[in-house]
Amino acid sequence: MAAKTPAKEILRVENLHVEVDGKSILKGVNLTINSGEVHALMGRNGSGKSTLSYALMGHPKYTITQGKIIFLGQDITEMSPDERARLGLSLAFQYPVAIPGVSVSNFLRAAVKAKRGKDVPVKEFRAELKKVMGELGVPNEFLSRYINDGFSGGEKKRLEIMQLEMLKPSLAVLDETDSGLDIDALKTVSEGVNRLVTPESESGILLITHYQRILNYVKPHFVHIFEDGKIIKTGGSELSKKLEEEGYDWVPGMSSRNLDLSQATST
Amino acid sequence: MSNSLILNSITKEGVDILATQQGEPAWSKELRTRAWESYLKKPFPSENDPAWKKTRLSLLDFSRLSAKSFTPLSEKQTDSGLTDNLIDHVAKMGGLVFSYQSQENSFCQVELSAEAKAKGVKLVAIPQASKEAPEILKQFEKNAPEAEDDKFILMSRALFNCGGVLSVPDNVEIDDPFVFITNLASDCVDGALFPRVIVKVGKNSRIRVVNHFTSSGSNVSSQIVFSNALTEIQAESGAYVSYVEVQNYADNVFSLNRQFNNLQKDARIYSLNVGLGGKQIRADIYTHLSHSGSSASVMGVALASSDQSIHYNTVQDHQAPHTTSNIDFRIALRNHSVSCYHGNIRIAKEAQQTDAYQSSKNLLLGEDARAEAVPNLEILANDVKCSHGATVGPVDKEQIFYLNSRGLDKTTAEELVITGFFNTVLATNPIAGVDAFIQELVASKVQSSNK
Ligand SMILES: Nc1ncnc2c1ncn2[C@@H]1O[C@H](COP(=O)(O)OP(=O)(O)OP(=O)(O)O)[C@@H](O)[C@H]1O
Ligand SMILES: [Mg+2]
Repeated sequence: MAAKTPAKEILRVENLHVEVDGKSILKGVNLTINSGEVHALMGRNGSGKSTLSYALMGHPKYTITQGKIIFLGQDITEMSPDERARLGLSLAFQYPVAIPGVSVSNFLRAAVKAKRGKDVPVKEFRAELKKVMGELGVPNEFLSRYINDGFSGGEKKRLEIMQLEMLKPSLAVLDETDSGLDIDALKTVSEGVNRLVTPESESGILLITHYQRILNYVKPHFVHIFEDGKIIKTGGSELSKKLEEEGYDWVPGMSSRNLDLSQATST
Repeated sequence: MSNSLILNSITKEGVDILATQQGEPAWSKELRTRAWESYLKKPFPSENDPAWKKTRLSLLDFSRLSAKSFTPLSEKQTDSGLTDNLIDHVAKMGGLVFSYQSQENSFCQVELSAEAKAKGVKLVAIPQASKEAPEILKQFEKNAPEAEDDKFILMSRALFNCGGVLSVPDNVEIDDPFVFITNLASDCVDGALFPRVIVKVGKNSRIRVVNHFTSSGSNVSSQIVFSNALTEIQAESGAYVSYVEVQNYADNVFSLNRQFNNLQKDARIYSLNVGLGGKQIRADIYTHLSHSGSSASVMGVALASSDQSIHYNTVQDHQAPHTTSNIDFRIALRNHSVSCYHGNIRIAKEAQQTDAYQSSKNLLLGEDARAEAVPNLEILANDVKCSHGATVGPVDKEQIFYLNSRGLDKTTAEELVITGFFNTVLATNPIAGVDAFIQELVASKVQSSNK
């Protein structure tokens, strides 16, 4: 909020309705993210947070039935995922998929080339990688391993952040990137996230989480509570602290907990 | 002296004349004519023959195809039609290049390295083998029971005219591979080739072999030509052979390959077959684990496109206790190409404590592509570990989405996933220097077929 450069709109989601396999999941999401802002999105299991992240990225299984997504002034509602990514949208997955046989280094090279629209000289690329890997404490052997193949939960999350750092998106959506990280890893990963958005940068972050602890490192400007496919409350960082202490029951508009548990998904 | 004989009109005497032209001694002519007589007696496989019905034999027109002999080029002469970096960069130990051109058939030998010579390795071209390696040819006359009954193997035994014999004494270890290249020029209209490679490896020796089937030239004739190859590998006690075969013939070739791996006590083989070219690929790989302690890894990677048809047939034949086999075949199909994989595991009664594994994975990229995987188990022993698995399916959409979400377009993402699908097998290839070569061929086929 204390941005030196005047805040620029990065993302505007208007009345977004999304269906998956014929089931309506998102029911009117409205959200605006400006440059330099970190938005935390919290909510019970199964409330639709990951669905929002997939819909933003353009997963073909998630059908937008109403509303639109404006990214950097462009309507991207109909755009393919790769076009969105090249425009500067990126998603760190809650459950990153393994791709056996494709090494991390080959993949990153291709991704960086796609994003920047040109091949990066090998030497330059290596130097960049080395820097990012050093900062994230990622061992060299990651590069020759296959994408997420046999990676531990925490290693997968590190790899997600490593990719974002290489791709430098204008909007990074982080879906439970903090889940499964040990205390030290949480700190390193948080530092990586903080490098993605600075008050001066032309980028923003949507951080989906269940826990206050990452928000101690990555300070959110806004905290949103998600329930039954939409945002039902927005506040500042005090909101997440209150959630940590009191849970969701007090939040106006929240359905009763028992009901939620019956449809909860496990993380 | 490049006389040609039309395949469907060759008589026993014709085979005899062919052998005479190659200057072969009486015993060799005798073996050939005997094989030809058996060939003639054997009926052509019927369309309903389960072993053949997935191979489009109807593509073969023996009234058009002819066999010719090869003439040696002097060492200095380079083979005009073929630019092959295998020869420049990989064949450091020695090799043989056979080239079937429309006008002339020729072959040349990459001289054995000083190291190979000093260690007593022998490499003889097939046209000279009956004179220079008679005892090996005689010994390999009986490669396996299957061969006695197979029309095309009999044909190959009668007409084999290119390839070579590699013989390695006991206790020799050599890292760099020996290389065989068979080039069937792509503008050939009536070619029939009978490559034969014999590899005999002595006790406790460890060597590597590359066998490359290719087509030079960009002008591809629309007439189907025929390559009927026979590869026989014998590893004596404690020997370890690595064998990599790459087939990227032009798409007018009917490529038939039969490979026999015979393993003695504690012998090992690593075999990798890469199939990229040809209108029809048919490959049978028989691995006979006939002595205790022998073990085999048989890997395969194939990519087909347009109307290519692939048929692989593997046999893991465990005849002795404490034997191990591991088969891993991966096939990716674009457009309306089709494939069939038959995986046979046989474990004899006495072959206790054996371990046999078989995996067949098939990736369907084209909407009209079809893959079939048929395991066939015949287990007579009771104390064995045996497992097999087959998958047939399209590319994982979540993998594609993951790559898309990093900016890779659909085509690039799919290419990366296919390359990855193959890489897990290709990464097991132990022969340094060929992996880059293979990756390049695979990558260029992946790209060129992606339309
Ligand atoms: N393919 C599908 N078919 C039917 N329902 C689905 C499908 N995908 C997701 N859902 C449902 O949509 C709802 C929202 O799921 P989503 O993964 O977005 O929740 P979430 O808020 O990310 O939960 P968590 O905190 O557990 O990660 C859940 O009830 C889930 O079961
Ligand atoms: Mg989720």
